[in-house]
Amino acid sequence: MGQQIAQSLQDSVGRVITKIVMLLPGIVAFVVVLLIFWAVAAGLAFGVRRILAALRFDARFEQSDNFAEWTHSPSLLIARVVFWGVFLLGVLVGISAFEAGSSDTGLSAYVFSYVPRVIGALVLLFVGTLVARVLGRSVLISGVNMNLQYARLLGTGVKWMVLVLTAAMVLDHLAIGGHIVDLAFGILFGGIVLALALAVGLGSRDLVSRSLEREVATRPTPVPVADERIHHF
Amino acid sequence: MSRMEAEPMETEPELLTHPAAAEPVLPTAPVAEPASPGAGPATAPAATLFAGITGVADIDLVRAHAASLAAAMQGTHVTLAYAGADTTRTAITPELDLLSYPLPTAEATGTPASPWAQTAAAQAALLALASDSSAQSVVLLHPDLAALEPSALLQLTAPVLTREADLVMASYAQGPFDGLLNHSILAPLTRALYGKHVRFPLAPDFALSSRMAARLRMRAHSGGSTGTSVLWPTTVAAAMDATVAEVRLGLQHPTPSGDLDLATVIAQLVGSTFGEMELHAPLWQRVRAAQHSVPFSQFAAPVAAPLSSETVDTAPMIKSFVLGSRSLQDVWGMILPPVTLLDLKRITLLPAERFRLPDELWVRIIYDFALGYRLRTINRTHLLGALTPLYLGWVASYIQEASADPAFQAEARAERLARAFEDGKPYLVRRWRWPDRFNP
Repeated sequence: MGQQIAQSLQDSVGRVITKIVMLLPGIVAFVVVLLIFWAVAAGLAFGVRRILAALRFDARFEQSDNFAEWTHSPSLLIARVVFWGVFLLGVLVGISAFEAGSSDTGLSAYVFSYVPRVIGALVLLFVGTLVARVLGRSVLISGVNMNLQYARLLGTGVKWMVLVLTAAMVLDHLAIGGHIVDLAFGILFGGIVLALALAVGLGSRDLVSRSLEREVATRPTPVPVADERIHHF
Repeated sequence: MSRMEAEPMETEPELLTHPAAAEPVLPTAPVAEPASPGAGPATAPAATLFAGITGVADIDLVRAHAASLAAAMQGTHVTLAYAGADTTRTAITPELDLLSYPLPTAEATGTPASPWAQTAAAQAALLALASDSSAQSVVLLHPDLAALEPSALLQLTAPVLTREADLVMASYAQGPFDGLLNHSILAPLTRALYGKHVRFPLAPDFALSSRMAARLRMRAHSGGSTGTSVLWPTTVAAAMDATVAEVRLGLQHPTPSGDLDLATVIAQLVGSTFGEMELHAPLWQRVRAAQHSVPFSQFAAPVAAPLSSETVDTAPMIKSFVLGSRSLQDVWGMILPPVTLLDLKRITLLPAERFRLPDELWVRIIYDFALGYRLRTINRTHLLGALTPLYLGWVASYIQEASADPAFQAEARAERLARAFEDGKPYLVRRWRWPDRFNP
């Protein structure tokens, strides 16, 4: 009995060690490839920054108002994109090398098929964040200029709505969460629409009708007109 | 070639100002004898004037004015251009032509619609027509035709016809609470930057020499590419070191109203001023305002409507300012330095009756916004939108100051603000040149 247990332990330890020994070349290959690509990425990023600086890329870019929200210089951003692009390529090559050095198969195929989704999700995240910031600030400033006391709440609400929507789109694109994301969004937006419908139909119908009548009767005054005797223009 | 082109005008640093409307200044340029009816071919007039109406005007009124104009401007060939269906020239007398021109729309020139953009589009079209007419002098007029009265027109055109000035801007009779955007930002900023003491840099009536008209036409042509939809004659005059005069016309044009949104107008006009600042940065950094500006007090007293005895309610404007201060701290924080934000915070805590926005603070705010516009610290539309509550704060402060002082003089107050803009200019130049330097 004792011998059988000892034998069984020895076999399992041996199998694990054998497995590790089999994986070790792959891991070493992965780390080496990663280091090489890290060095190449750093070199390329440095080169790109130097070239863009020589071309006065930042100064040319500043002429455009569309990128006023960017907190970093455009050349730095491009250099970072180049660095991380090459580094991610290194990760993929490393995974492939790891697979070649071990007995596991199918890992690289799975990772490679997932890469386009990750890139798409990153683009979605970037655009969504930018839109959320611009839209949130637009609503905030317009709200203040229309003298809405809840302008800040409105601006923050719009910003987070877009951010949450972006997060949902990113998760959906990455195929994370499956139907839970769809379901959560369906419930959330459906809930909002239902609440509004109920408000209009039942609870706040008088308030809403008065508000609608006011909207029809008078155009909203964007800024407070204090007195007829004051002329701004 | 005109005398103007052959002998470049010697430019004077100071601004010429013609006295009040009581004594119209007649042109002293060589004048030909007026042609009597039926006396055969008329003598060619010595001077040519192109007068353009920058908008739709009643054609019968135009003809009526044209007749009296021809009588008043003897010896000068006048072409009077008005908005019509197409370009047609009609000779009324040997010295007077009527020229109709199709009025361009601001949208056609790719600029957002507003009365100012519309006027600028019409001005650009008229300057092109004046260039084709080879007129020695050009005068552009508001479509209400108030400035087409012979006495007003003579005042406006006299310095140009006598070659005393390249640009003559009109100044109007206004009440202390009229044209507040002009008095708070546009006029003092233009004066501090370019050293030209012009109280209405966006006056719809102004006269130009032929070389000034050519430069302004070029500016109008390149305006779209530089994002400026409004023409600033004073800035162009400063850029070409031209002599600028100002005449006070005893008239008042109707205030643009209707569906105009204050925030949109501020964005358009102040944004355009900031755009011009960016364009002419090397010029205005060299200008020392004290060398160029001549106070108005040494000339005739300005025409201004009296202050109303009734108090104006400033509460909605103060409320808007406080709301802006509460909600836009993040946005203002990206444009204004901490000390300015602290000052603004202090002001919001003041009781309404003691609400005041000091001139020095207001000047710093405008200069910091101009810098933010240049550096694109945030989206320019957002930046200009965030200026509206601050402007309303200034208006509230100004009205309270005026209402509290029975001896309030709008002209003296405007002069004090203009001086504050001039005094604050070194701050602007320093920040413009070294924006990254520590600024508490």
